[in-house]
Amino acid sequence: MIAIYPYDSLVGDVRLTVTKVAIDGKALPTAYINPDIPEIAFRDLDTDDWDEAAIDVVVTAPAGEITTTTAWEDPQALVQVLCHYSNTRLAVPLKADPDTPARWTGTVKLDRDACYGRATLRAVVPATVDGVPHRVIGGSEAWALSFDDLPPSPVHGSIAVQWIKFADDKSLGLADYKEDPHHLRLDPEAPALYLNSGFEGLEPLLGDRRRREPAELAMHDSTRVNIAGDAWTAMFVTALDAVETNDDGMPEWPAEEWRIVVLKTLFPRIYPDLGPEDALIEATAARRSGDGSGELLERLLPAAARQVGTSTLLRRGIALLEKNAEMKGADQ
Amino acid sequence: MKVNERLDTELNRQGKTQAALAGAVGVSSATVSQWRSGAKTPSTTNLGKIAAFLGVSPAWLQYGELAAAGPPVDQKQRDAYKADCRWYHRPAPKDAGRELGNAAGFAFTGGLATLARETGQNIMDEAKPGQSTVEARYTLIELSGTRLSSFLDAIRFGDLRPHLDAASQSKQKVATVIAKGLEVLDADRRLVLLRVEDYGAKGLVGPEYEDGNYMAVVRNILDSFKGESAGGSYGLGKSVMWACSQFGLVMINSNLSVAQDGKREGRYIGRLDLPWHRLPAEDGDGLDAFAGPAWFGEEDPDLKPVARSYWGNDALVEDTHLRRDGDESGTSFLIVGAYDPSSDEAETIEDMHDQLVGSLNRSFWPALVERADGDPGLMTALVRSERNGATVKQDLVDPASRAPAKARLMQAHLDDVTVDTLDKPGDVVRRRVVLNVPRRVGGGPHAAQQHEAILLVTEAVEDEDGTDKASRDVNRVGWMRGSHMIVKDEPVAGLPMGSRPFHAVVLAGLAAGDDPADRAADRFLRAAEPPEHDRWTVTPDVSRSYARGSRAALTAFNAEVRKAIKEIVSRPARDLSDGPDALKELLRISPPSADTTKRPKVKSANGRPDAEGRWSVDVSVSLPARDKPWRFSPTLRFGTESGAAIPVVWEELVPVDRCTVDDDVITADAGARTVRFTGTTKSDTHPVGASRATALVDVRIYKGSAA
Repeated sequence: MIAIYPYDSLVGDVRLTVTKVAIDGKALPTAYINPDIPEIAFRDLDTDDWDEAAIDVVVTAPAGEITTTTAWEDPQALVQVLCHYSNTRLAVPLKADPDTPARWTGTVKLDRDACYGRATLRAVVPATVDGVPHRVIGGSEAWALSFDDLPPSPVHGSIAVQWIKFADDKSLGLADYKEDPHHLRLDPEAPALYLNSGFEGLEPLLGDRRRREPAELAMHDSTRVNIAGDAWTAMFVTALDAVETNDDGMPEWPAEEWRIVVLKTLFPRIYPDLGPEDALIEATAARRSGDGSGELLERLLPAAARQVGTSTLLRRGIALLEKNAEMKGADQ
Repeated sequence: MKVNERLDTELNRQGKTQAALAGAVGVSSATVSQWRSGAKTPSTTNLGKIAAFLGVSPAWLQYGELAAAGPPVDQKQRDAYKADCRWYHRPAPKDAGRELGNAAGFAFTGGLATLARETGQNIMDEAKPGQSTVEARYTLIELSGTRLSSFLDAIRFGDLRPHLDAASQSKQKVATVIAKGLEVLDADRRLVLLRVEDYGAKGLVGPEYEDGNYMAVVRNILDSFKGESAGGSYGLGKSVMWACSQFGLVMINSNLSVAQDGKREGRYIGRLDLPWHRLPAEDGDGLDAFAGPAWFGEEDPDLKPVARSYWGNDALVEDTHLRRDGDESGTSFLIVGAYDPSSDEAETIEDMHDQLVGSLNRSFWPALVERADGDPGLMTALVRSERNGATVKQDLVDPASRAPAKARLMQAHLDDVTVDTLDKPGDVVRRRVVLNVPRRVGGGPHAAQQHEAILLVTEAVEDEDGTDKASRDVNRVGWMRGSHMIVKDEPVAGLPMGSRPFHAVVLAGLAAGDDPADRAADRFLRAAEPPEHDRWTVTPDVSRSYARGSRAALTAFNAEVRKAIKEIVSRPARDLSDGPDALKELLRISPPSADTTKRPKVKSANGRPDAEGRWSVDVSVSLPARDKPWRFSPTLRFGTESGAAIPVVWEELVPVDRCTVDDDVITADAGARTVRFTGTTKSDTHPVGASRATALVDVRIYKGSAA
């Protein structure tokens, strides 16, 4: 898909850099500001008991384009904060740098009360084009702001994997599964895989170890890849279940980012010749129809297996067992 | 005139106030006053700022007019040196042994970078006790025409010529170099000299023929007459100067810090290092063999025909471009036929100039950085180039402008404003890292010692170094000891994902303190430096002088530093769930970065709303290869800020290249890999005017809307 603007828009990138964040006047350590994702992890702070964050930003646009394109008059920059959980929308205009063209700075003041769970922060560059003001000619990548109300988004990480003694659990309802080795919980905001530390021998089998005997390594790989494959299959199904159709009968992506990413990750494996939008339509239709649903599941299982690399690890496991048998044979 | 006088004069001449200068530089008015009176000297960094304020070059401010001619030469002095000075060539030994190249010159590979490192280190080693800042000056001089002839005359090059010719005819590598140098001299009539001077160092003290600095440099090869804290282990450092001369020829002028036989100023000697060679004897009877080395000076009346140093002749010094600036002690070396031995191509003096500046910056920035209170660092360095008397370029080497992050590291340490974790931008973390020095069994034995080296780390900031972070300089750690030269600079690998980019430096040995443990560590590390001084490893000296455990100690030191850096720069883990990584790695959820589907994709789309408010677009679509022809529907939707994009209906679709149109469906010709078509939308199906929204052009199998 390609987006065309009805007027000239910026070819180069608009960049948003967070230079400093102050929480109620105190500087936030730079460890919490990660420009690689990009994200400001308010949720990682020790206390959630703060009122206001002041985020200092610098926005730059390609100076050559800005200064030489006559069609754009009076280019500006503003920063937009969107939190769809709390329905907060904030727009903060920035000040132009008097010495450097196409560079703006400013501070976004964010009330803790105005945000819930997750929000986004991005820069927008509007200009007056053909006499019409406030036409957006470019925007930056969106920064994620995460707050303590919700567990961290698994996107850019993995879903939470936690050791818990199922028999002793009181809050998560896992006591009913105390004989099982693991249990997958697909909470919309916080999907998690629980491993039963009360299951005899599971921790040594699954835990991270540097060296393993060949037979044990084969078993370790086989167990973990099956757990993961099942998890992907389950995540896909619940994500697809969360798809609603709009008034025109067209399916809409789920609200949760991780569900969208799970669908978009497995769709290319399930429907290799369809783009994401078409795949969503096809999968939703299949889910509803009798025959189609079986076919979808048939395609889903190998897709999930390929996602976690089942075949590769199985081949390796078989080779390890053969090697093991040889070694044992040699000893005798 | 000195710095303070130039500063004072220029400030008055321009009519600018002390307060204004103080404000521009960022110091107090009282400090400026002290600079003007000469009570304090501004650091290199501050000099740069003062110069910018006054609109002059920093080098001029520091040194004045360097290319200016000296006082007129006294003809009587000139006559004297021409009569007194000769070249003395050491004859070949009676046992007919032959030395085919200077052993020391071959002990390491090096170019100008090595020259900068060795000479810089030697200069710092030789600082007078109590001298807070030592000054190094590197001057590249290109001569041609009469200036060249006068110079060659002054050093009696004509007498050397037969020896050089003879030496150039052997089959040794050094012979090729000499031959090349002579070729350029004859053909282009051009010669490059490199003068390496120090001010504030001890100078070539010591007697003519006995142990001492002078003897070590001028007469011996592998001798390092240096005390405990010195930089070079084997004295190979100085031989690099001869290695950078195409003729193996270096002239020397020195002012001594300690008088020798009642004399102190203008100790002059030249040394030529050639391989064994033969010439027709002067008396016409057969061939004379020469060992190779030769010296330029006056004939020693007690030891004829050996040459010894020639004292206090201003004319000689002026004619051979070795006039020193003032009477401060130190040595000036003049490398004749200077070149870069590690490069195949001839370089201009401008190129050599830039290389020297770069190397000095890279290797000595800890020594060049200004200290607390804006005082100059341990060393200042100037690089200048002149061509036939006119200055071409000059640079005061200032790490604060070329590598500001590194300067910040040292400054925070010297000012004692380091912290324990990287919180704010600009923070410098200081940690102690242990080096276990093994038991010393060689001279000056001691038990095993635990030394605490200092690690300094700061986060790299994008804007600061001018260029983008992705390149070069970040995520590296530099290592140094008491000599304040960066011994090695290595990348740190294996950093966890999302770690902050950083600059780091390790101060070991005497750079960390002055305890017995620090001194023992410095001595150990010095012994662990091979002749190139570019790493720490188990050298023969280490094996000889220390009990077992040296390799393990060095490896552990390395590992400790890396571990500390990783801990300082990594970010807090995003998830605290404690499950095994072996499982988590299979459950990573990341937006897919590449599109792996094999389907029609819009390659390009151009267009504008037309006069009637319809979108008019020209679209190219790329298709994967397959037998069955592709069929797809183009869609144009209006982008919205939130929610799904709104599809509009086509008024017309026209095939342009390799496709046909039927209603809303495009069918690609069999085997086509690209198709092209144009489309116009029905404006009455637009939710808003065309010029009010972005158009999202895509190709779909399922149209997504009823026509």
